[in-house]
Amino acid sequence: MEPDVEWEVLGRRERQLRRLRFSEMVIQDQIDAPAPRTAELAECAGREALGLDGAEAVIQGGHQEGGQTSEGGFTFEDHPADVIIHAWASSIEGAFCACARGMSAYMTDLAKVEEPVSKRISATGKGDERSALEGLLDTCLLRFMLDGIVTKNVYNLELKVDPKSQSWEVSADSSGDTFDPKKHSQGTEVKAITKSNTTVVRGKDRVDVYVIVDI
Amino acid sequence: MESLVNKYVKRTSPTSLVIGKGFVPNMNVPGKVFANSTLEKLLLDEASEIASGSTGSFIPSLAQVANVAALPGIVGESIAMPDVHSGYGFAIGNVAAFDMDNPSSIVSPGGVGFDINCGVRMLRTNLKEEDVRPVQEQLAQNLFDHVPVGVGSKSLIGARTYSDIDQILNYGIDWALREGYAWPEDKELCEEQGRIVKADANHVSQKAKGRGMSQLGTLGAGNHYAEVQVVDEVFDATSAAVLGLEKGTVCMMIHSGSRGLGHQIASETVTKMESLQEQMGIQVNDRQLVCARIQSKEGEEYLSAMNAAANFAYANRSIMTFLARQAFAKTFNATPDDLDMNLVYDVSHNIAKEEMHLLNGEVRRLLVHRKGATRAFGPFHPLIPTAYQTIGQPALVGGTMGTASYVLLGTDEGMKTAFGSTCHGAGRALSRSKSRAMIDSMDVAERLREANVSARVASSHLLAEEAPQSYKDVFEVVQTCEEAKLSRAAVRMKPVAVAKG
Repeated sequence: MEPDVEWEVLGRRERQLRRLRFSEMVIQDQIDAPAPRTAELAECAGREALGLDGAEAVIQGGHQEGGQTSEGGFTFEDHPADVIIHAWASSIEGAFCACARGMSAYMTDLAKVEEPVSKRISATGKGDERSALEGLLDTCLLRFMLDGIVTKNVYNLELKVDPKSQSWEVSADSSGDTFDPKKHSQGTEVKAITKSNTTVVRGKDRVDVYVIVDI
Repeated sequence: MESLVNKYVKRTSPTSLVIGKGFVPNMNVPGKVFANSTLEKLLLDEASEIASGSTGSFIPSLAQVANVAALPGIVGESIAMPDVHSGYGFAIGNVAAFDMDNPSSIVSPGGVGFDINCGVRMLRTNLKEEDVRPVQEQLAQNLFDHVPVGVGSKSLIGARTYSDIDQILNYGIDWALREGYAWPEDKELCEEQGRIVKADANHVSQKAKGRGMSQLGTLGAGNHYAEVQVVDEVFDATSAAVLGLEKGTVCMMIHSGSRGLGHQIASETVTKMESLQEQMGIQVNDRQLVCARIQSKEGEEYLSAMNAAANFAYANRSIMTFLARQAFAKTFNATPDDLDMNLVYDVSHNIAKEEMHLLNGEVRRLLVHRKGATRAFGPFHPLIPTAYQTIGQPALVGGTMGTASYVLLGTDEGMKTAFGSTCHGAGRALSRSKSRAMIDSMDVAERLREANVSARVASSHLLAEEAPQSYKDVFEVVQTCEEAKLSRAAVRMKPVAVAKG
């Protein structure tokens, strides 16, 4: 996978801005200031690699469970055999991004993944927004399975719908790295995204999504 | 949920429960769960846990079994094995048969699962426990080095071009035989002789083939494993002799499936069928249960793609058999031939098969979905290998890391009550995240050491997720199958060395 040249020349700050654009909660001033939780962790764990950008997820104590971004987060919830990824953010777009990140976090420790490779990804779905979310996750999973790229971040997400045919279109920028078992930790393999009980809860100022992935 | 359970779920015998019509909407037939009182408690706990839960949780297995009973064309009952637990669409451990001659009958990818033809293969050797004990660490390491395991592991041998993949999809084990990975004797002892004829590679997408290409000959992660075992108890000496096993025999079990290729076929089919659901006029209670009429174009295409994936899984397990034989050869400095590393059996527990069954005194052509359930035909069934005609079809039941595995044999009774099916494993009792939270990986490693099991695991999380405490007691499950006369136990094996993703 050749690196996206335009992406490379953007520079760090612009990349951060783009990454954050989907969220209204984050104001520009916060961008360079590390989130308090991140700083605390970096201090106690002595890991600079935690990613001090405001938009980076916090990987708690080197454990891959849970993650927070300044505009949302994800966690893994109970299921007898598989895993429910529960992700949330202030907007549905943000929640989708956090969910995609959550899936990658189950497969490997994202703190060890850098972001040299990026690509605009897209997916379609029919019926309602749930199928768009499943489509997006499926695309990320395929990127891992076919091209061997772990998706660390998804941002600039656009969600479009044709109200007549109820067909949904989702596209987003993604960045990540080629998976290398020597460099990256091996978590648990996600086999597929199920459509079993996928739920999108649109709250007043928060959107929650739940997806069951097959392990 | 609790009042619904009280109203509709009734115990009919010490080993079975019935889920009456009305538990979920539109049920065509009742549901039946094989469970003793211990397993019943686990099921009811699962159901009540969800009742108290909030949005976005999963559907309890009792409701999933009932949802399956609401599918068009289902005959008999929607049956759950003792190891049943909540899955997606069908419960894991769910068996359902659909009348193939009824035009409204359906096939559902959710009834096969994402890992098409996930199954267990067992090899025996002429080694005894005392031969393997001194070298068990080395053997575990050799297995781990030879068989690619874990997330993102790449295939060492296998398909290099799309035409290779097409041949694997169409020919299954015959491809492995031609390439020299399988022995001719292996074929005889595989379910379906290692190749399902009604397969068509043309119905498998390029993406799926791509995923298959990079993963052929890899074990996978999660509950898949390669394990060296020793027979530690023989329940039926005659049957065990027919299987070539006796107390102390060293054998080997490989649990894997069609990898990404199968997952991709299932994902794509579910998406495609979902968009056509309205057009086909089929109502389902769960989106993951989407289906198509067996006789429709979509149904036929899925079946031939599924069969192709099944062939891929046979080839995949054959390659891993080859790798495992090499690992043994290296450890014991003898050829696999000299070690008599023959197949005991190869059996699938995630598949839909066309079978003839006697239903209410009539012979019917049925499509039997078994998701997390093993086929176990009674003695003298024509589809059982000649060598095993008198004892019934062997069903290989994998235990959990550090606990026993079993070889079960099919019975005539099981043919009548469960379309010739039995359990497939212990079945999970704790969720993966609960296991991660409650169980310490180091503690599991310590216990394995105490049990004298050499383990190699690619991910440390997996030790906790796959710890024996996370599963139901396999003995309880096997015992219930025996009491319900679904199968009888022939031998029990204990683990010696295990390699896992």
